[in-house]
Amino acid sequence: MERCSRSFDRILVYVSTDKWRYDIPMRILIIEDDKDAAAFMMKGLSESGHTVDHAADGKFGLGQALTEDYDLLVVDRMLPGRDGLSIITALRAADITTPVLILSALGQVDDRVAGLKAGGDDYLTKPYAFSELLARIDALSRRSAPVQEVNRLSLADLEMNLITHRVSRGGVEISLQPREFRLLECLLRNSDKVVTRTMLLEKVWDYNFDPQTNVIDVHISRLRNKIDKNHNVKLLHTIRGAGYSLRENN
Amino acid sequence: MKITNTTVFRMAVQFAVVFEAITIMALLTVYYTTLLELQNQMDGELRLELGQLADAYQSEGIDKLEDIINQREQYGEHLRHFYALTDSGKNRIAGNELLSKLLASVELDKSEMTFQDISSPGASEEHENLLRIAVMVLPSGHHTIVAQTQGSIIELREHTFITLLIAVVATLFLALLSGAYMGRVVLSGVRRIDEGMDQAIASNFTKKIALPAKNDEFMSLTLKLNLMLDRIERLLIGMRQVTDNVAHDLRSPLTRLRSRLEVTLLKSRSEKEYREIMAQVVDDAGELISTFNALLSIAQAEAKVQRDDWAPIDLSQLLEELAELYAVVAEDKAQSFELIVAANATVQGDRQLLAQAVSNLLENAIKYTEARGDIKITLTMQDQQPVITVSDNGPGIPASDKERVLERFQRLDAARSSPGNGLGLSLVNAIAKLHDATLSLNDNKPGLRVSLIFKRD
Repeated sequence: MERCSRSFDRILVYVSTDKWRYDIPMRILIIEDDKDAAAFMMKGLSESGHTVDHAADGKFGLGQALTEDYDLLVVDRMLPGRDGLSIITALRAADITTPVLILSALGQVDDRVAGLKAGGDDYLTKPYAFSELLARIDALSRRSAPVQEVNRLSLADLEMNLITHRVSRGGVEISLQPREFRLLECLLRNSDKVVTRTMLLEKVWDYNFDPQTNVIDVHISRLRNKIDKNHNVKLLHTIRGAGYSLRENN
Repeated sequence: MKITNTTVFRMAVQFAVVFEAITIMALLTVYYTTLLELQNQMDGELRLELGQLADAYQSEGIDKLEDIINQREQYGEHLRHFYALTDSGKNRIAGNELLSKLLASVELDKSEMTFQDISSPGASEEHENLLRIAVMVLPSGHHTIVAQTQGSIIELREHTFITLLIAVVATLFLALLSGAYMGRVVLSGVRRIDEGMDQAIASNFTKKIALPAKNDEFMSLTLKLNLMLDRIERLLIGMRQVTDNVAHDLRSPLTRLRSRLEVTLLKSRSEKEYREIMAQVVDDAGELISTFNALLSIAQAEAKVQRDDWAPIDLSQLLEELAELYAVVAEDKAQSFELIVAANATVQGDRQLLAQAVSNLLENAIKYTEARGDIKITLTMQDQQPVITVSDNGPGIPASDKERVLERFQRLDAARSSPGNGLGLSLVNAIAKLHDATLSLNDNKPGLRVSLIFKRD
């Protein structure tokens, strides 16, 4: 345990040197019966600036989630005595809309569908990369997400009109393929956050398998050519070991 | 197994016993009602005769009665009727001598006429030794006796008994015979399945139950059992392969990861060095996880069954999306990428798995084909069957290796230098099987042409 947490420390260092940023500290409840896994997560998330509580069983976790005000819940699917999904169902029945990230060792398509159907907002299969967990937690953060539907998205001098589908940078119009448009939209909606390759494949293409090749990188590099080429300030950054981030400052 | 131990045989015997009981009851009922009827008839005749004799006595006196009785006794024998007249002391006056003697053993009622069954020891024919006797006491004290042999009743009794015997023996015999026959038919069907099951279990489910010659209930049962055995076999093989492969393919990267860490700990190093090593370790772990996930996907696809809630998947649309996803990758390698899609081809299936299969084929084609090669993906309808074909003009797969590349972790020597875990085609194969599709590898002369042939929707 001691050794494990030491090595965990370093993974975080490795990841965080590559421009991970957590401007929006959140209050997170982890409902997970595996104490070691929970300890890692707590350490990693609190070092990333979040406040983290832990519940080791479903009953206690549900009680906590019902009485305390959290920004995000991380719920393990298989808890002693009950399915994590029943906790989510109970929460949603009590009109608690806190975003829920489901962690599961069950990775089949049907399991994912069942998880999202029960009211989960995202589904991550074990074993996962910690960077993937961080990115998804970040993306689920309610405080940073625009609540109302917007017509325009923008970052620095990059502008996207969701009605007319026009994209411009510094007033100069950029012509994008429909899929490139959706890719940029996904990045813009998560600007300043890290978006992983898996998240992009899921959100832009609606596939949730692991591509063996760099297919997402190729699409990103084409998009980068269109929005960053000939501009001094680069917006689309590669986050090593994690994914991509659209942000103004390096 | 003995025939007598079969359910059918036991049921046949049980039915036979019930049937026997019913037969016996029916025959006895018939016997007793007939007997009663015969006796009534006989008593009626006797009563009639006594009445006639009484009339004669009343109108013409005892002498005339004597004459009539002698006369009737003389002619009545062939009717098996006997007549006698005695005085009040039961001494014969006229008619049959034996009958007058038998009168002594008759208990006379107080009523006008007495009926009684009596046996006559002196009778020569054994059938006629039982008599129905009717006695009337005249006002003068004379006894008028009329008797009839009970031959017909005895015959009835004997006939009934013989009929019963024949019926009981015949039904029992037939029941045993048909029971044995049915038992044998059922037994041979069951025995085939029984032995087939034994062999299947002994052979780890590789052997199946032999099909019966006739298309009967055993055929349908056998087919279903074989389907079940087949599924058990597939699951077992899948499980065994997964364990084998996990052991085989995860052991070496795990060892590498561990030794990397152990060597690192041998002495203290600079922070920069630690960072580099840690980054390598994370990469190692990532590789491990992706191999592990691929293995699980294969196992899951193999263990899955076609589901009722599978939706129709528009293959044309799916292919267009995937082509759009991968065309840029091919373009980056300066490969030509051509897509030809027939419209409205649908199959029942799992969209994610089908997408995974096609993407594996596309990734392989792009990866193994040289820069400036040609990649082509087509969707055609052949005999109403949708066929997805991915072809390239890369190195291809030698005919002798075509079977081998579908197995897990099998990589051609030429491919070892490129990244990959050797699971791509195994996964495609598993997904194809799940969708009742055939995966076929052909020579594109030069290159590889892989086809997924679906069943018609």
